[in-house]
Amino acid sequence: MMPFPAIIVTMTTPEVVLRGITVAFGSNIALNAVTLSFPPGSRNAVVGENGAGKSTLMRALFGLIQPDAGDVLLGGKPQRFSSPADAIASGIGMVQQHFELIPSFTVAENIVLGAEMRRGILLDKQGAESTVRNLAEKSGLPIDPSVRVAELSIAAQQRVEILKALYRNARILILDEPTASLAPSEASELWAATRRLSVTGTTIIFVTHKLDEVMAEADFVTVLRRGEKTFSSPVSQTAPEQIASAMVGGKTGLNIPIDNKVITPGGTRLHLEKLSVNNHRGSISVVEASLTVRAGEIVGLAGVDGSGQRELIEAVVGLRRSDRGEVSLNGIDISDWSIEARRNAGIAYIPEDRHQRALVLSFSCEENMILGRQRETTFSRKSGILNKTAIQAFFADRIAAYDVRGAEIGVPVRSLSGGNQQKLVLARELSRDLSLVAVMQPTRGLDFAAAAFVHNALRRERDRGVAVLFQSLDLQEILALSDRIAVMLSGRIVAILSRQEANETLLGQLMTGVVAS
Amino acid sequence: MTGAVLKTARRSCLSLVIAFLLGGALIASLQHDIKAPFAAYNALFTGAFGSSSSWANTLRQTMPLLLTGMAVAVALSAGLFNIGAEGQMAVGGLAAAVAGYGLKDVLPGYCLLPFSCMVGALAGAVWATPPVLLRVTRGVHEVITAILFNYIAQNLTRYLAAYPLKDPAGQAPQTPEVGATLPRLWAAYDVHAGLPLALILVCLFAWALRYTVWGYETRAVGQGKGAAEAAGIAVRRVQVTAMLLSGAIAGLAGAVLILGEVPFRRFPADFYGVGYGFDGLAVALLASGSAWGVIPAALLFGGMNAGAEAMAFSVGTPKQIVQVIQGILIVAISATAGLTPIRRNFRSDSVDADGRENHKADVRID
Amino acid sequence: MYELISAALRLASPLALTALGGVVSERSGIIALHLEGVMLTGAFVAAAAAKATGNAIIGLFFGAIAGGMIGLLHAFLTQRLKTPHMLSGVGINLAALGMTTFALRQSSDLYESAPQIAPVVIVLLAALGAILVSFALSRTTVGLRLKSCGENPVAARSAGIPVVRLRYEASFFSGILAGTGGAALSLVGLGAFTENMTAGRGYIALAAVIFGKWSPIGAVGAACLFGLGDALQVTMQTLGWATILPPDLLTLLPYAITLIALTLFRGGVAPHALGIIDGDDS
Repeated sequence: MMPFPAIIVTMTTPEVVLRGITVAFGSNIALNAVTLSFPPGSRNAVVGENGAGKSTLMRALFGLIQPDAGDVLLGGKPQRFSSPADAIASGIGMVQQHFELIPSFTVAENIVLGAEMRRGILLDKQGAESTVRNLAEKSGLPIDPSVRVAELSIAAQQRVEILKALYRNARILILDEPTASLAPSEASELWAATRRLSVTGTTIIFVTHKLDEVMAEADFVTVLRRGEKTFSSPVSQTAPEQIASAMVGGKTGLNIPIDNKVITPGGTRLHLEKLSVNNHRGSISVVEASLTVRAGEIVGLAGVDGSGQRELIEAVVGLRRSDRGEVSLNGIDISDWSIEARRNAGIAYIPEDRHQRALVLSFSCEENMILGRQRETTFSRKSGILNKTAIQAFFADRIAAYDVRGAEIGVPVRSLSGGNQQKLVLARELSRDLSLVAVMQPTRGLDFAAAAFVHNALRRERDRGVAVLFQSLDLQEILALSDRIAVMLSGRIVAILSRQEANETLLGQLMTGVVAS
Repeated sequence: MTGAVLKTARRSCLSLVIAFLLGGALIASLQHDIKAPFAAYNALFTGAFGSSSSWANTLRQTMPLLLTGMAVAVALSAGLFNIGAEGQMAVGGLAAAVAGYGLKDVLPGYCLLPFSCMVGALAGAVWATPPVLLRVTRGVHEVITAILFNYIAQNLTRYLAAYPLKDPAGQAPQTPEVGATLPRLWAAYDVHAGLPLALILVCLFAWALRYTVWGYETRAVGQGKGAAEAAGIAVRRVQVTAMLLSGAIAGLAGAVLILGEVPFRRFPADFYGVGYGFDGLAVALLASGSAWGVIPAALLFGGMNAGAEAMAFSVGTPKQIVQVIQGILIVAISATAGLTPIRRNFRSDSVDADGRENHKADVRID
Repeated sequence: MYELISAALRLASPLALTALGGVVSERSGIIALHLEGVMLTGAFVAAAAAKATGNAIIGLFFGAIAGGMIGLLHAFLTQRLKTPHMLSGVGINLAALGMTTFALRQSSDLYESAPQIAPVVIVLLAALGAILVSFALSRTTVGLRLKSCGENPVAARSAGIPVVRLRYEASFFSGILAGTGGAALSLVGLGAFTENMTAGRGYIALAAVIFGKWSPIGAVGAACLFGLGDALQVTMQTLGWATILPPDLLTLLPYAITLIALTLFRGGVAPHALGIIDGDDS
């Protein structure tokens, strides 16, 4: 690749048209003949629920996937992007949700990588740094080019990604859920920068599911639902309710049934007292979080992705050491207990990443059914020999009770569908005497029926007096399932609400720090 | 289940064919004779399975390979690669020789024999300890440390057998003769009681891996470390146990070799390098980490080792060709392994004692 | 003292060259466990070529090229066939040992001495290599791209860098360095190839890479330390210490030093994507 000129050439931005884009993954249609256009220099929001096809559409535009049908047109000319390199060459840049940066490289090195400025065979470090500094100033994205990326905040890393695209002369900038892990002040800086960029003619396309962002920051909005375009209009002529109904499909209600049962919680099961957890880089993930979960209630942890929910739950189940503060179960301090001891004391854990944390994929279904329970007297004798008969009987009983389809003795759990794998995990974790169930993203990647099954299983646990602590990024799920809701922001629990007090708007504002509780 | 076994067997056979083809090409090119590989392989096969005495020779070679192959397989089932089997075997052999000589006037023969074996196994386990402890505490990869321990074992056993522990009665640098030896199975052939012992241990291992809590937890750690950890299985303890057991079996292999009638009965200074430890790696890999697979794989390698001598003698092809074939075999099997147990054992979890990074590396591979 | 230092330099330079090869390979993301086999092959081919042509420099050249070929093989196995890096390394080492011994038995004239190279040439080559690798990694575009392959191949690929091709090139160049290190073993001093003449030096070089925290200068420094251990051992033997400390215990010294170094001083961070089998992700 040739090095790019060190000055920003003002070029006209072509209009982007997506015409009849269809993408199928196997039999699953992710996008069905979506047609859209983005005028030069405009700011466009693409919104929809999880799985609506927003990211897929953006990936198709950036050449990361090739549509099965339809065209991308730039300035009226059809394009063939067989890889991101082609899209970049046509002036498209994309900042993905997961940054593609090299932590041990400096900002300037990351930005010029692959299109370096050179003097002979030498890397022109000074030249790169001064170019990046100029670019940063012009575009209003302040950054020190000589600092290592590892030392930067998420927001600064995002600025590096944007500069990377601008350095490659991107005139069309795609941002995939850009504010998902930003603090409110950082988000407003980002939006200010996008406004400046659009004034100079750069087209901005951002994916989001936050309506306030759409109303405040977009010129045009497009709504996708289940792979189809359901709404497209200038924001100035649109009311938020129109967008919301286009997202959920005409229904005004939520698509997860809320059960308004009034609960009478029992005694304290889990108590966190000023719990602090450091992450692997030594920076703080959870800051002095205090929370109580009582018998017979479900507490939901709401928050923007990366606000410390994962670390909090991992500290409860013992996968992560707490650095300060106390975790107690039924009044006993368990902060120093092993995972095994916590399990034996009645903590069940249903992780987000089934394949990494809940299942041994090459093990058979019945072997997975006793993972972590193999030492129980039901499943093994004192001599250390497994009781295969008891294991198989237990397995047969549980898969019937939890309706795990396709699970058979000797069949690797790998061959089950995601929903059935999750049911198997629930069947294992919930079928014993418990004090607390800790759950992360209980329905991620599951279809509606499987998700409803999971929700009912968790409610059943609550009704038999177990304390349930779960985390979800989906506010509808939080509102539908929780009896009480704890909101996390930058590692702190900033609010604890009852379900009656909470609604999606309030939670959204608390999660993003728009209002303090 | 059977499907998976068949697939593994097919892959192992394919790899064997590749290895022998490449080995044949090498023989042909180095001996400048297109017919040389056929003559060599013919001699190799006849030397391995052609007569009852060649069978006896093959079985004699198979015995230690059953043990070293199993030693490596035990570690592999917990996700560790015990490349130090050769060193553990040498240390175990020396320890058994010392016990077998030093206590021959104290213990009666029927006690001395099992006792010497146990001392050998214990020494092997001790020698395997530092590498695995360094792995789980300091994150130094066990392959590098175990290799260094091999060289230290080589020099140390050579020194000990040649100087402080040397038989003062003889000229040769070796320890004095042990007081009790493993009995022969047939008077005419030097196949001794080590063979049934090794077979029993392999069966026991295969059974334990499937039917005990120990085996269950070991396999869970080897095949899904993250899930095993979240399920409360003490991953480090399981790995340390597996490595110690692996070292003990390798040490036992050394002990059984020394205590067998022929060729040793004494620990010679140049014992290290006898090669069964390294062959054990290839045996375990050929078995694809399956315990039962160790038996045919050991027999095959035993046959190759036995036949190699005959081949060198009758057609003059150097016996090192067998080593070449084994090296190609390891590569061929691992290259064709796909995401099978072996491959998973080798997925590069970064060895920093850092859960998050480990997690990340694992995600990339699956 | 002068003898000790010159012996240390002489013994360290093959290790240093090999360790530099290890740095290049590992910084590109390929675990360099195959260095032992590369060195051994380099040593053998160099001796054979020097013998055949009567010219030690030609021998050195062919030894280096042979090392490069083994490097390419390792890259092919790990990048194309997705063999786990450790297994590819072990297999290559085993096959190289068998193959060189086999070939040695076939051509007995290799036991006689071949033309030799002055030790100072190898020391200079090692110093030159250290400067070159260090300069290339820190100052050139190729170096930046190479490091990006070892740190985050996904990011490198989306920045338009041909990750696999760069790794092949790195592995070839790494093999050239280690092959030269191996050639130095057979062409300096002894002037002949002997069975398994590397005796684990490839593994020690890899330990030097880790000990030197994957930096070229660090790795060369570590190699010098091990060379010093080796030289001490040789000097003590020639000084007649053998009567007090037998040679077998002295030869143990470099391995023990390596082990202690690995145990005590590990603090470096390996390249992030080291040994990760590419393409299995998603």
